Amino acid sequence: MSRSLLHDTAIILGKELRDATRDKRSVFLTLFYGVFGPLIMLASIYLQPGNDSVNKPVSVLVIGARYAPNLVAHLVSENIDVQQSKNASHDIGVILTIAANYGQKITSGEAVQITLTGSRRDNDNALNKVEGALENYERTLAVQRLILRGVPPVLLSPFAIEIHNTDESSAFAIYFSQSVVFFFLVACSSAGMSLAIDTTAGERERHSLEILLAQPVSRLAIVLGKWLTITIFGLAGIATCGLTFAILNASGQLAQMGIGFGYGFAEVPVTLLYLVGFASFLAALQLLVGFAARSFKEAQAYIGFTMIVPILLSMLANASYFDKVWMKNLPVLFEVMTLKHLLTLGNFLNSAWPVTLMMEAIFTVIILAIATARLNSGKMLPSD
Amino acid sequence: MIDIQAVSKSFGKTEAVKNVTLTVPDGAITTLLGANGSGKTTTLRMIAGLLKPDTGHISIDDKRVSSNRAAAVSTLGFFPDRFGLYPRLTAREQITYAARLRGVDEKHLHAAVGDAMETLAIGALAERRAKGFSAGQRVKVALAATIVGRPKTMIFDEPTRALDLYAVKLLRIVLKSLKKDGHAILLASHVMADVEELSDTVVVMAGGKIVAQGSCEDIRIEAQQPNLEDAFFALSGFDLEAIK
Repeated sequence: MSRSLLHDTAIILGKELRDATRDKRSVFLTLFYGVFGPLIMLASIYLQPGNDSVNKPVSVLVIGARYAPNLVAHLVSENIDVQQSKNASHDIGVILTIAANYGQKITSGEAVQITLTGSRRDNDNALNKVEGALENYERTLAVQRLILRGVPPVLLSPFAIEIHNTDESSAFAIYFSQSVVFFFLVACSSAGMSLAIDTTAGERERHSLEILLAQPVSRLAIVLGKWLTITIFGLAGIATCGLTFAILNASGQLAQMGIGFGYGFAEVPVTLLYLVGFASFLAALQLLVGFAARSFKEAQAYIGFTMIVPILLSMLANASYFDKVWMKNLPVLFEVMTLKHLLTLGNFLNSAWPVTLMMEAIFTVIILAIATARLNSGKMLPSD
Repeated sequence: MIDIQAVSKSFGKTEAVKNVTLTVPDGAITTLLGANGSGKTTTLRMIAGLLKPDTGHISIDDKRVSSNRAAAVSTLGFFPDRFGLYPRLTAREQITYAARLRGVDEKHLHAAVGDAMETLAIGALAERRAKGFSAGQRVKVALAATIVGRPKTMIFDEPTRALDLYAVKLLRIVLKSLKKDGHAILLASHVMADVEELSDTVVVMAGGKIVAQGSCEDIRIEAQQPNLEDAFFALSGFDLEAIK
């Protein structure tokens, strides 16, 4: 009867996968962050104050509109809803008061007193918009006066500025990509969490671990089988997150909100490739913490803490002082940087990947060796 | 055959097993009889390779557990005092998993699983998940997982706990049948009726040591008591008069 590590690992992996896919909690957590993470993020951006105000017309009550018909016409042309009397159906945050001597002063080339009343804290940003429209009109008038006095128009505009905006995405795109990276890492972590608890502390509390340890299979095969199952679930969480994001991108929902990305379905396997090291490392960590815990509840608490690792590091990676190249090659920091690149610019090859992967592999092997030693120690057995 | 030679095990300052020497022969049922904390479970765990003895050695069919655990326990079926099933797996899946881990090849797997289920009369549970099983049903499935593939040596730690009368009767029949087929069986039990009916040799343990061993009759005579229960109390150092 020949036995091999590979054969025994495959037996344990098969059982663990069958058991885990029947565990509603594990399956739910695998899908939850992957699907709802990007959706919640999108909803939060959509509902963010000021986001929808970009194209929303601003209402302004103009007192003395009859003294400045051209000014009023300019405001209307700048997508400002001019009201000449208070109307209950309109939400008016800005009041523009034009003096009765407006026409006379304009004609004589003197300064005109115009009063704007409103709040800069207003969510619609109405005061700034009306102020900007007035400044545009003011510049137009000034240029017209100078032209009338014989100044050539070219002297008034020494620069012929032509802007080619290569930034398809808006500031939201950058904000969104940073947040989505976070969800990729959390999706990986949460997908394996419930399974890691169940397969370690859960198995111990159910008293099935003692029978498993008494079987003629090596402890390493047990550790490898369980670790591979958690890794597969972590990768499934990442794939779910990637697919959700690719679907959102393909549906045009992101573009409608001014968020354009190069991330599509082709980038999902690339994401998995870049994150396989991270998923393996995190699965090993979750497994070890689960084996070290003395009870199911303790495992729940401690494995929950492992989620802090990617969260904290993804926050640090977004900080400006992480510009040093060697720092970006560190595990997790590398993944955060690479994912941000992948999300905003699409598929690319990062030369630092093999180095990071090797570092993560070394950490993973060390952690798995400790977990195997823990199983060998007899400390996992229930006390009499 | 299980051969235990001068085995000791301590946990910190507590000596759980002290210099135990014991042979469990093939074709016989040997029973460890002892109070809680007498060292029975620690002894069984050392045989199964779950704990390493501090001194001495254990062999199963001439294979040392300490130096070649996987080979030594490949012919061992182990039923611990607190067994667990996987709640989301069916009875058949649990038994099949145990058989695969024990090294039953795929060619004989189906027959081996069928044999174990038939022996424990659990055919009706085969495709049901363990989550809804009664205590008795759980014991029967765990026993089937222990005997699947008919390992040559089997150890049972209090197997009749939580079993109904019918299941106890069934288990006794199974154990006698296994003995008849030449299996070496080591049993740990508190239930005197089981011990008296099943045991060829009774090993009385107290304070981590073997204090007596022999047939039920030998034990009773050695302790000069009218029955095995009183003999056990007397040999274990309990004050019988105080109990009475």
